[in-house]
This record gives sequence, C-alpha cells and structure tokens, in this order.
Amino acid sequence: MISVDHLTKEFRLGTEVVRALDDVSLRVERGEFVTVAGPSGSGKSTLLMSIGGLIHPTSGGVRIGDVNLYAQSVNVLAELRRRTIGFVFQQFHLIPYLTAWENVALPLMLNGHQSRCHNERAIGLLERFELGSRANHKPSQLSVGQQQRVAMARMLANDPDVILADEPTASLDPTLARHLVQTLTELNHAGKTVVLVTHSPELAAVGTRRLALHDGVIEEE
Amino acid sequence: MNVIKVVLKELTERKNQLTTSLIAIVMGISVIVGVRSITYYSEKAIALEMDALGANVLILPKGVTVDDYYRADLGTETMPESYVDDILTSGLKGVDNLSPKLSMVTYLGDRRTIVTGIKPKEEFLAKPIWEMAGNIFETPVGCAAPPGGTPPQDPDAVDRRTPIEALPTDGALLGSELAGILNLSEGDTLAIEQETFLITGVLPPSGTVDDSRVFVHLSAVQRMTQRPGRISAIEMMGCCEQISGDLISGLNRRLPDAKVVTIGQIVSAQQRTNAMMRSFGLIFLVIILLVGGVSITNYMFANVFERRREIGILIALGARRTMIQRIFLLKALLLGLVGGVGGYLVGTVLAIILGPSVAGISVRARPDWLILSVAVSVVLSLLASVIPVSRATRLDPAATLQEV
Repeated sequence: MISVDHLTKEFRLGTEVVRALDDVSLRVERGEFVTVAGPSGSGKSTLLMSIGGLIHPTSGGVRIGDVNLYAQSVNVLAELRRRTIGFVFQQFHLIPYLTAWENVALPLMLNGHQSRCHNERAIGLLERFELGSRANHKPSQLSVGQQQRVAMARMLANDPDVILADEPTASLDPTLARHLVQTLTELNHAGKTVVLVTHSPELAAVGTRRLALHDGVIEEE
Repeated sequence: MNVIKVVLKELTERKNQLTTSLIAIVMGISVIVGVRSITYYSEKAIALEMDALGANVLILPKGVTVDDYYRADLGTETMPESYVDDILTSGLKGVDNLSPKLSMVTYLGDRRTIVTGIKPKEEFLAKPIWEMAGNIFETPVGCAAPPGGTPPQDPDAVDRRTPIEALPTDGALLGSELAGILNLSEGDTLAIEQETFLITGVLPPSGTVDDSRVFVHLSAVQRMTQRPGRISAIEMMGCCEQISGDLISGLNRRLPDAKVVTIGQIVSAQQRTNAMMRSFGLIFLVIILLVGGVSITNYMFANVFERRREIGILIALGARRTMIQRIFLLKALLLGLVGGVGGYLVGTVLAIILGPSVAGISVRARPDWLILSVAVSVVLSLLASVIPVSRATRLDPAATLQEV
C-alpha cells in the first residue's frame, strides 16, 4: 500500500550538505503495523514526514496506493492528507485556543463536512477516548495524557487508512504510553495501516514488522 | 466549526496579540486621519486667506475699464440687472459668491463719497429663479479650496466669505474710515440725496476703497439715480479651475453686451496656491499611507512568524493553501474593520486636540471620513497581508512542526 522507492533527502546547512535519508526503499502492506527504530538524528521523522507528503525528497518517490505523492499538486497532496493520512505527533500539536472538541472537529471542517456533523462526530470520538466531559476544555486545561488522547481523536476524525506516528509516547509516562500503544494496536487490528517511528526498542517491538534506521540507511531487523 | 469561528477564537483568546495588532492598525490609520485632517483644514484656512483677496472676476459694461471701476468713475454706462439671472441660470460651473452693484457719487457735507448699492444674501436665497444655481454663498468651491470642495453642510463653507446677510432698503453700512471722519456709528442716521438712511453697521477695516464708501440696498441707489433694473458691475468669485477653462468664455457668450475681466494677480496667486496645496496634499497622503501600510505589514509578518506552528499543523491536517489564505485574510479583514473605526476616532480626536496648537487651525470631525478610513484600513490590511500570507502558504510544515 505504501511504497518508498530509493528515497534520498538532503538538507543544506550553510555550506554543508546533510543526507538525512540515503536511498531508502521499503514497502508497507495494507493492515501492517511497521515500526522504524533508530537513534535521534537517524532520519526517522524525515522518513515519516516524507511518507506523509510533508517533505519533498531530493530524489526517489513515495506512493500511497496508486498515487505518486510528489508528482501531485499541493492541493491533491493536501486532500490525500485529509482523507487518507492521520498524524500522531510527540508534542500532540493541538491548537491552543480551540477546545478539545473544536480541535477534533478541525479536520472535519477542513474536509468540508457540514458544520452540524462536526459536533456529533467530534463528541463521539472524545467519548470513545473517555474525554466527553472535557470537550469544552482547552489543551492547557487538560493533562498530558488527555492532550494525547485528544490528538488521537483528532487523528481519527476523518477515519484515515494510514496512521503515521512520530515518537507518540515520548512525552508520556509508562502507563499512558501503554494505553496509547494499545489503542494503536486496536486500530491496526481494525484495519488501519500504522507506521510508527521511535528511538525506544520496547515500543519498536509492538509492530508486526520492525525496521531500523541508521544514518539515513534502512535495515530490516 | 467554520473558518470565521476559528479566526474569532484566535483573536479573542489571544487578547494581548489582539491588542498589539489593533494598536498597530489603529496607529497607522490614526496617523492617516490625523495628518489628513490637519492638512485638510490647513488647506481650507489658506483657501480662506486667498478668498479674502476678494472677487477675481468683474463683469462691467462694455465701455467701462477696470481702472474706472476702482475709481468708481462709472459714468452713465450701466447694464441690466437681469444679467445676474442669466449667470445664475446659465448652468456655468465655477460661479461662486455673486454680487451685483450700482455705484453713484454723492456729497456728504463737502466730502465726495461713493455710495454703492448691493444685494444682501437674504434676497439671493429668497428668489426662486436663482434656486437652480444652488446656494452660491455656500458653494463648496472657491479658489485654493481643497480638491473636491467641502460639503454644503460644513459650516466652514458658510463662514468662508461673509456676504451681507440682511440690509433693509432704508439701511446703510459705513466703511470704517468714513465712519471715523463723519463721526457716525450704528444707530445714527445719514442723509443721502434727500433720503434718510439708518446706519445698521460699520464695516471692519479692509484696507481697500470700501473703507471710505457707503453701502446701501441696490434698489435704493437704483431709485436715487433713477436707474431701475440697472447695475454698474457684478463682482464674482470664480473657481480657478473653471476660470482657466470655460467660465470666462461662457460668460462672454452669455453676456454679449458686457465685459468680463479676470483680476490677474488674484487669479494667478490663487492658482499657484491651489496647485501648491494639491502637491503638498498628495505628498502627505503618499507618506502617511506608506507609514500606515508599513506598520500594518510589519504586524502581519510578525503574526505569520508567531503562528508558523499552527500553520504547520493545519497543513499536516490537510488544509489547502487557499484555506490558510482565507484564515489570514479574514483576520486582516476583521482587524481592518475594527482598526479603521478605532483609527478614525483616535486620529480625529488627536487632530482636534493638536490642530490648534501645532498648526494654529481649528479642526472639526469629518464623519464622512469614517467610511473612507475603514475602506483604507481594510484595503491596507489586505494588501499588507498579501506577502506574509503568501509566505505562510509556502512554509515548510515539517520544519515548523519539528522546531517546537
């Protein structure tokens, strides 16, 4: 379903060129739970962002289904992210001035859903994560674990086929991290394709397939 | 959830940023309104000074020269009073402050004195046939008046020149010098050609021949000289633009038996001042628009920088570039609307307070500038947002998400 072909990404830092990804190729089938482990600076986030259509590669390409991501216009790419991809970030990236339900409703609004549908869907998702009573609270009024669950609810708002998780447990305590992993596993069992990058060997072990990334080069474990 | 709600949420939840941004826009617009108000009323004050130079067009009988007119050596040649009707109903543009006169020479004791018959303002206003010319004493044009004139409801337009408001047919106004020589004042009587006139006022010194004249109602002079329906001159204030254009030729066509003369020095001074004030006005306008525009652009750039993480989140969630543009432009629109009203109020108050002390002029509020201020504020806010918004849509979402 996800096909990464000879992906290379170089960043220019002053006069120096840093190669974050070096001829990376991998294939993730529909319904797989793939983890990519590697130390900090190994290129994990760059790989994830490239799969999500957020970083243009220096060379190579990424396909999701039949769509060659970087041959598309920015609008087609945006639509693909809205409908097909859900991101989970280490720092949650909630909009600080919107309430929990408004944060969850944001992807629905971007996807052009009718305003009255936002409420029901967003509240339903928050209740699924046991946050129904905190719907009108802003991120600053929520605990770290609650913020991560709001971010998960937001990620699921448009029911994406692909979940891309970037160090999703790095800011959580072990109990919350276990809950999150359990949720991702359940989603994977429900048919979602999950790609998770982490520096934690324990978290990397939860995937159905494990990859390792070192200095931009990928290895099957 | 909709875009408007997202924008309003951001504006209301971030009160400090909202205050900062509104201050930036209000300052920009208040500078525009304040400086423009002061320059506008300065232009009007200069226009007043120019108008005080007197009439710039004289309409005389064919055989009378300008020199004759000033010496009141008018002889017997006159022209019909109906010329006033002809001018006012002609539709000619640039006719402002019309004053028909008939002068005669008389002796007050042994002093040779010129008595000039005039029409007071109330008669112009009362005559139905002249209505089609509008109220010429409140005509919003005049040499050196600001481009576009002033609205008739502006009380300054009425005050610009001071035509004699009312004058009874047996009333007389005395020039200041003559009043001193004859030792006469308001309430005294004056005998002219076997008729008795009540002195209704002494005119303030003008430094002109008027200081040694007597002014009575036009009909009184016509009666005393047995020239009913005749006049010896029409003094007129013509607008400079029209004087340079069609006004004089139009008057000549309309009044074939009269001589239409422009008073060259006055017209050229008025034209020069008019052109200079327009240039100054334009330069000021460009400068203050730039200052206001830069202030608003600066804020918008800062706002994009502060919000780059949210822009990254929106892009990651699948927002199109047009959605990011809509969010920022809507915000600019709302800030422009509120900032325009605030800037108008602050700028007007500042101009009213500072006008007398800084420029020595009285400044009044111009309610009609409110819509203009809001329009300028909105347009400037939107224009100033174009580059920052364009940058916002090109932000690298991955970089902004990773840097925080």
